[in-house]
Amino acid sequence: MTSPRNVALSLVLLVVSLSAWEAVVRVAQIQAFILPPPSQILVALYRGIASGLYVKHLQVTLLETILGFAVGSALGFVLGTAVAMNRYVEYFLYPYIVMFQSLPKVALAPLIVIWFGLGLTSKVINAALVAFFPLLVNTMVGLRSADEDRVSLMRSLAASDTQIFWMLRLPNALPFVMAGLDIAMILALIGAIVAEFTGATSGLGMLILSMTYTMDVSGQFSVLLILSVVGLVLNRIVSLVRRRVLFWDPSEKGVEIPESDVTARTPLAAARAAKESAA
Amino acid sequence: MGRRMPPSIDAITVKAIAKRYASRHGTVTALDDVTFAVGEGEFVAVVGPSGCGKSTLLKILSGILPSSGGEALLRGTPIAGPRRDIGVVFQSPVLFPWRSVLDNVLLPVDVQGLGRERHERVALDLINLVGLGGFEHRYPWELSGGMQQRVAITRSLVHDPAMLLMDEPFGALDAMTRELMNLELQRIWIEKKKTVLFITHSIPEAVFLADRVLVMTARPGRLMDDVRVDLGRPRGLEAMNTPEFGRYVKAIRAQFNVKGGLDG
Repeated sequence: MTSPRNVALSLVLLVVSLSAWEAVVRVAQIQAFILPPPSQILVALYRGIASGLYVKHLQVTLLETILGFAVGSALGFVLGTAVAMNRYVEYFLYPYIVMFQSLPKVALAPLIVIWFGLGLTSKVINAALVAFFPLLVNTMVGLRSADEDRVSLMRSLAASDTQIFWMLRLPNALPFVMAGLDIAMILALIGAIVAEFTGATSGLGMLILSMTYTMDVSGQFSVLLILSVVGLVLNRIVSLVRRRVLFWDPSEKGVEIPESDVTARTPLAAARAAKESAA
Repeated sequence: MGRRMPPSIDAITVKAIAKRYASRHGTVTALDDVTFAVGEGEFVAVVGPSGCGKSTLLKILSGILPSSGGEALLRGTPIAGPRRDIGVVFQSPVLFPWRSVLDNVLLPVDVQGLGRERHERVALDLINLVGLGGFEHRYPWELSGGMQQRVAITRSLVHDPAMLLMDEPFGALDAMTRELMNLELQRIWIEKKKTVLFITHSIPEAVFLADRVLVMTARPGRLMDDVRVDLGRPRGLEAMNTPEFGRYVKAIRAQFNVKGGLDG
């Protein structure tokens, strides 16, 4: 797909659509606070970055997102492991987890801001809350999906439950855990932004909200542009880590599995091949 | 038919073993009063239709399933759980995709804490023996089905167990690969002198490989016959075309025809 021709074509497509947008806004004389032209958005973006304003708020949002992601997914992983491995934890805890899961977590943001204030803590907690569930569920499913034959093999080798966990269940759960991390990363960013909307003194979400009050729509567009790049980069990082960790998972690369057995270098196979070629 | 009576303690002794499961339709008897012995270094095949309890028998012997009656002994000691002196090969290779060929082979060494340094040489020699030399750092998804099953056999040998329990190890392979694997297994067995209990539903495969063939019936799983195969070693594939070989296969198959044939 990525031939020089296609790259050029997609660039042309981008330029054409941006120009069309610019032209429509100018010709139809649409007010900038309804839909700003791309040129104004770029100017706003440049001013925001040059003044250091966007950088400052981006740092805040990034910190909230990454801390929330780390805390939420770590807790999700630990609790998911506990639920999957212990029948009592499952029996007493799981009903509440299911109930809590069906709740839209971002609806808790106002409450969390009341409890934990306008600072970093409330944002991290909100981001952690939404990042928590994908990890919890995926860890549970992953640990339980260990193939029965593999468990039998480990048992036949006189492996302890601890060994079965570390040598079989945990690596087996990794593809699920990594898929959970993928989702959790994006959800953490959403959680942080929603919490900033609810009440914050800094962050890109707070910036968007304050721009609403001044009708600075081109500013909003420029922040949205930054947020989508941030989301993309964070997602890419997780994908890169996943590919490294799951190098052994064929679904990660789409390799072909060899059909023939002839490459096996056995004396018998060699003898057979010699016989066949002689005949 | 003839039964060898070795002078020393048998490798495997099974006395009146039974296995019953509770199900919604009452009790299912998977194994009923099965008695046999396998001598040290002997290759014994068990044939029977699906559902005759062959696999149940193997699970009991490997210590991962308790029996409901009778007694099973390995080298004179009762089986009270998984043991370290047996190697098990299942129908599927059961490899761990995150481990390389070498690491898969070393799994028993890791589980039993036998020391990687000492066993790596052993593992590499065995990998060469089964014809996978040069593949030790590959991953299971890079191997064909036959090659994966070779890895599984190598893994069952790495901790130098006294006996091998094999549950239809070549059942999932195509006919050509299967014949090749039979030859390889015979070669490994002659070289390593292990006691082997080999479960299969292919009568020719059983006759080709084994010193003795135990014939089982289904529902309930009972031992019907114990056939001694007096064919020279090593046996080549052409042995399958001899009248002698045919007579063994025919005699064993005749027992199933009485009962309604093999369904597996």
